[in-house]
Amino acid sequence: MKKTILFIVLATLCFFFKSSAQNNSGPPIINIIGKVIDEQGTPLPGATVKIQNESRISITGKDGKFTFTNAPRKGVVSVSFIGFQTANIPLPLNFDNEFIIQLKADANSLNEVQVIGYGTTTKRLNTGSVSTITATDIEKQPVTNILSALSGRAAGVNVQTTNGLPGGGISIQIRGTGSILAGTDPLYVIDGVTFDSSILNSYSGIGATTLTGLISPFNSINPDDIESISVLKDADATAIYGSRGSNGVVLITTKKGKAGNTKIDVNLSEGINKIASLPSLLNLQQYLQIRRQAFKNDGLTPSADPSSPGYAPDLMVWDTTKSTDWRKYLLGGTGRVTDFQGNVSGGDANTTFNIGANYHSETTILPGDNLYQRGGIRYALKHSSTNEKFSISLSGAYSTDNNGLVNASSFQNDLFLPPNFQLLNASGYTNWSFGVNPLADLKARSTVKTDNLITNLVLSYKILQDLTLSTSTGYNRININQVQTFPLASQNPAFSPSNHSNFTDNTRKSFIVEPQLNYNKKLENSSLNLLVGGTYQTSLNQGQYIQASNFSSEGLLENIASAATLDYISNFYTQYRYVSVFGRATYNFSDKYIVNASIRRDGSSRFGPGNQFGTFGAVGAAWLFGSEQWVKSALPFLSYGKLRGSYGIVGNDQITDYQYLSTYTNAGYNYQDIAALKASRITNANFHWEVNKKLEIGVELGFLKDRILLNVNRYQSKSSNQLVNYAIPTLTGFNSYQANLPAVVENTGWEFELNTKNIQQKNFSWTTSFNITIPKNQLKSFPNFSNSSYANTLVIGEDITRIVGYRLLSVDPATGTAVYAPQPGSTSTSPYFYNTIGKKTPDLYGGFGNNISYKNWQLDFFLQFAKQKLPGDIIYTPGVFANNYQFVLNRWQQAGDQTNVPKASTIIDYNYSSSTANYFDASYIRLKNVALSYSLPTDIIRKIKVDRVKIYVQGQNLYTWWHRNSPFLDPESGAFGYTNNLPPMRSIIIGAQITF
Amino acid sequence: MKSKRLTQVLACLIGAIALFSCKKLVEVNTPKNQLTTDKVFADSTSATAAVIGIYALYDKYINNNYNKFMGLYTDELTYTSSTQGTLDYVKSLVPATNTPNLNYWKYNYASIYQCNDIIEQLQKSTALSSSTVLDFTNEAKFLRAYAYFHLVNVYGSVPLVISTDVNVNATIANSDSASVYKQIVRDLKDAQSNLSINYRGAGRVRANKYAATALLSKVYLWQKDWVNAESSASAIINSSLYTPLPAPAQAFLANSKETILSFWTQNGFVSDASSLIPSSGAPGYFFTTSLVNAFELGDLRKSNWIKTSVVSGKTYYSPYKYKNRAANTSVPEYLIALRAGEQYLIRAEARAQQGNISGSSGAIADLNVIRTRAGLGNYSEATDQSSVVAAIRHEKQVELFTEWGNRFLDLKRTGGLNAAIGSFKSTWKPNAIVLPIPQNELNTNPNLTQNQGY
Repeated sequence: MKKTILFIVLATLCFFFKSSAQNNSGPPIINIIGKVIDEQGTPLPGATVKIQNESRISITGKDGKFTFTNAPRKGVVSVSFIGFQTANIPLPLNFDNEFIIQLKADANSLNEVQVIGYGTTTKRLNTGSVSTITATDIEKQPVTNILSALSGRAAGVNVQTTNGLPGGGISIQIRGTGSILAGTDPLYVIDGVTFDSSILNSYSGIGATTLTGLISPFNSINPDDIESISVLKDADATAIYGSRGSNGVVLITTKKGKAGNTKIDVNLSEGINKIASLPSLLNLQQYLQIRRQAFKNDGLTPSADPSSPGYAPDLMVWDTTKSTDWRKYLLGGTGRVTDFQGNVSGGDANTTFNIGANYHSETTILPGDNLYQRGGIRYALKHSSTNEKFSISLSGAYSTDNNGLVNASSFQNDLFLPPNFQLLNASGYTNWSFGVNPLADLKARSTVKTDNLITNLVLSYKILQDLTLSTSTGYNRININQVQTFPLASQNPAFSPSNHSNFTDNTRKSFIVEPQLNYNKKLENSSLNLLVGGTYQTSLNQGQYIQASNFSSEGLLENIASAATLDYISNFYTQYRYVSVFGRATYNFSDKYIVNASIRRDGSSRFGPGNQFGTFGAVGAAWLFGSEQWVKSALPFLSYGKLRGSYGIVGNDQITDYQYLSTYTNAGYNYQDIAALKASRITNANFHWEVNKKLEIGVELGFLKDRILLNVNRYQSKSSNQLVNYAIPTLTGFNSYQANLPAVVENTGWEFELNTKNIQQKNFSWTTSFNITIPKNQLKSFPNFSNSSYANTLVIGEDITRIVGYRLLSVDPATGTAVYAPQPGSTSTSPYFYNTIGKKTPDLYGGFGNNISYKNWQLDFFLQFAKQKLPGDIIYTPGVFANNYQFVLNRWQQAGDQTNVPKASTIIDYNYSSSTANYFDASYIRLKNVALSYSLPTDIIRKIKVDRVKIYVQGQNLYTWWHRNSPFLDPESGAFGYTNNLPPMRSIIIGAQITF
Repeated sequence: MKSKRLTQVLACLIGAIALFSCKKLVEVNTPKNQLTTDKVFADSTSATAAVIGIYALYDKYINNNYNKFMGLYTDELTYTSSTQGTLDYVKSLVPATNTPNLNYWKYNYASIYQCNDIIEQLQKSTALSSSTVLDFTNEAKFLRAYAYFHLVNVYGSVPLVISTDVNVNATIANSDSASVYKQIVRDLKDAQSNLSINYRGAGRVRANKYAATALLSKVYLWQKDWVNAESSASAIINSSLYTPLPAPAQAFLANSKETILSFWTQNGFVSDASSLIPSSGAPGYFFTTSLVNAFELGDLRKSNWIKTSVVSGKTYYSPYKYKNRAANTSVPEYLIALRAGEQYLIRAEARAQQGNISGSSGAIADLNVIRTRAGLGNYSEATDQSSVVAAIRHEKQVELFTEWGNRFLDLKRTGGLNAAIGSFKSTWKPNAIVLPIPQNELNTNPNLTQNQGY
């Protein structure tokens, strides 16, 4: 994965030692002066040089040189550098001659450091299932939200961009939907600090329906600050996170300083955004023809009279020759992206630092004044005492963003405006005869300001040679302030009498402290690692949401004090506390047999008294059979072979706070000047931890000296007693309540990861990575199912993301009306709704990437794909007073027509949109990323006195192969539906990275 | 020595962790914006806030998803904009997935949940005075009956939810409408006998004895119990709390003389009026010519309760019973739920149905009270029973238009809905006499049956 290593494949570590004996009467000591270079002769700064049995360390400088003064004449010099095998050179050296030691660089990704929960291991020795992407993959992708960088890169991780606007949401599911309607987000941990991934403006009532949509907190994380993202998937990897691990764990590690000369890194890029594809809608002629047909079929005469049942302004009032392409008007713009990253890092053997600043600005494809800006600073400091017993490290990031967007609340209606709609009527006023008007709609605005501080302090002390005590303390404060303004001019005067604004404030504070004791004993043939730790976390989430109207001046719509009326005031307050103890033991016998066991006992305030504590744990084992002598001789082409398996129990506490408590809440409005109260929820004091049993078996194989690495996983996860927002009819007063679902839901799947080094030559290399996931979800059992709330929507044995609907039998060739299947086995002829028409779980998904480097050039391209079917966007049957997809051109027109689209009519057949007919192949292959870079040759950069200059061009979402006839805006984000979410954007940027 | 120190350190750490794990560490404060239910009903101020929370739902949510839509669904209103969910009502082809229909259902049942919870919690409360418990319980019963009266009329066989037990309610089946009416009458009789004639709080915005009586007279009329309908209406009219009827211009002001119960409004305007009263330009909703033509010449209701506007040469007529479409705290208006004018017409019909047509206590006398207030002459048409009944029903159309779906409810009660609306719009189907039970409810409750034809 670490692609930097590809540059230094087969690199050699060379030493040029110069030393001189000192004229000293003391013990025999020398000065050692050396230089570390790779096979091209390029100096390697930052390598660690150590004399064994001494605590002193020397770090190579910018020129790869180091000096050791007063070194002993006897002993072993050890040189280590990431990506290279550690060299141990025995003293004394032959000082008279130039002494060169050639060492193979460690080009094997199996030996890369693998971040896992509360520790690190290597890919080779890991017993769990972990997928990682590193900064080299992230840097190539011009993304605003760090989570988009994961798209398609890791097996078992399904990333979906649900809103392509800056600040928009991204959903991630690791190994399928375990839960019905409960939180399915993984646990996110940034440098040891848990990060609340829930939507920031979820408390505001209209957040989801306007264009700005739901705000993901990950937008306030600068992607360039990230060193690696590890996705922990199986029980072995996640059980150390106990109750919070059942949806998987995403560990995000930020960049840290490296010892060596001070390095200044500047990266500047500039680019554009466009919509990836426009939906195929009817043009004016097609639209008018269908409308006229509709009136004819209905026996109606189009009329210009608003009180007539045949009122049709599009046919009778508006100019039927003037056409506007509303797609281009609304989505055809070009956004500009500017990004700046500056970073200073360096340090010596004892102290390292990394300080950075960043700025990002982005405009959108939408018309009007839109600007997203983000700025931030980051720091990472680490100091170790000279005797290496004590170390302290502090890291953190602060970022602030300001997202000013138009906030159309009827964007979907705007997009589906009849093509001959005119923005202004004949008298020059805003045309309201369609009920909406984009000119007005785009005058509504949203401004979101987010501040995010996340910081972490780690203290560590080596009590004994093998025993380390450490404490990690983290703090996260994220604050969002959203103002949505609706001036009078943005509203239809027929319905809305006053200007109004919505104000949302939300502050989340979270504090976490985790003491840990780590015992690491190396024995002759084996090693033992023991970890004992505890967690205490407290989080506070509070804020308010206010709707205000009748502002004295529209210039003051962002100032709540200028509102004459406060229409709705609600506040929210939740406190969360979490405490646990955990332990892990890993025993490794001669790097062939590894056993790993972890256990965690958790307590969470989200459960009622008596149900707060739960115990989780897992066992994992790995057998590196490739290292067995008999395998080596029997299968000489096999360079690496590992069989691993794990089984464990994890949980999920992603539920809303206080659900066990029976309360009344401030309703947000008054009655007779008394603030009204409303019942908060249906109380269930008895819900308890869910149990998620995960089983996994994996095989990892390396062929031809690990040039081909194959990883195959089979996973199975069975969750029972799932904590769900149990769906209930609203006649109960609420639409859900917190409960344990008695059902057993099973997720199984296959994951394949293949990494190959196709060509490895001095000036030319080509590597390929491929991953594919085939998931399956099944409802296994459900006691008393037929009398439960889920009897209609789920079927035992089927996927829990089942989509129900009508089954279209045909469009009657005689009448042109759609005919739907009745209930199987019933005598009734009325259409039956609860047929399985599909599922949301994709059939398969994955990614395919290539890295090609030739001399100073590097080209990367990455394809993402999925095979799936999704509900389409045919909300209305043809003939309605709104535009539609070209799909409806295929409608029934005359007796004898064989088609699956009913005749044009002004009367909507609502069954059609939730039938098999509106369910389409949404499979796609997307050229997700292309990155081309060129590093200036050494002789040029020497002349301009810099260390490195890289110029690059990057493109995201450049092209998509999909069924373009399927009525979607985009196959990845799915149907536009009733949401206002925009698809991921196509962006192209150019930039330069300069290192001093 | 070293291992001893190690043991000490380990012991300390484990001790510390064990200490940390104690339950106190996962105890949290009760949320600052919430009050535990036992505390709500331990204090009359907070218990009041819970009770008025039900009343507040009506102007905030319920009426907005009902009144104008029922006007469109029948022959009162028409609509010019393009929201499909609204156009469904114009065509009287409302699918089970329609959003206003779900909202109307949902908020009514949210109100019923809170009524049920309050009734249950008050039984347990020991801190409140017995008179408070009695009053609040019966206000909740009145409100529950008010919700069910409309639900059973709009949807027919609705599930009868009278407890908060989710295990029962989540899979409850439809009740026949007779059982629903039985519950309505039981609740209203309790409220009638236990509530005092004095209103709690200022003005007439919380149910008193006569509010229960007024709804009861309506329910009796719906059940063709003419005797009880008449006596209930009489009790209200004879109390002289609500009569004489004020002039049309004053009838819909806050706490007007004829108000029996109104829902208080936060900023002095009925929220539904914002969309019904046009500002400038063509209105979004306006009256059909069928309704406008139903008024006799010189009817003060037409000039006072209907707004006329001319846009691009076309004359539009809009609802204008409530005149504030934005905040107005100097001349406030509340959403009137029950008023004395309706009681005269209920009594008139009840009397006519009993054959009591003429004379000072006959049907025509009551009808004339309404006509006089409207500036019209006394009824002078045929005095046979069916003519008088027809005249009373016509008077209801022009008196109670765009109030609580009266047109729909009345036409349905008298069996005239299919004929009247069927001839008014071509898209009307006989099954439209009930609205569909929202799809969401059917999805989550396997024991619920959809209405015929949906």
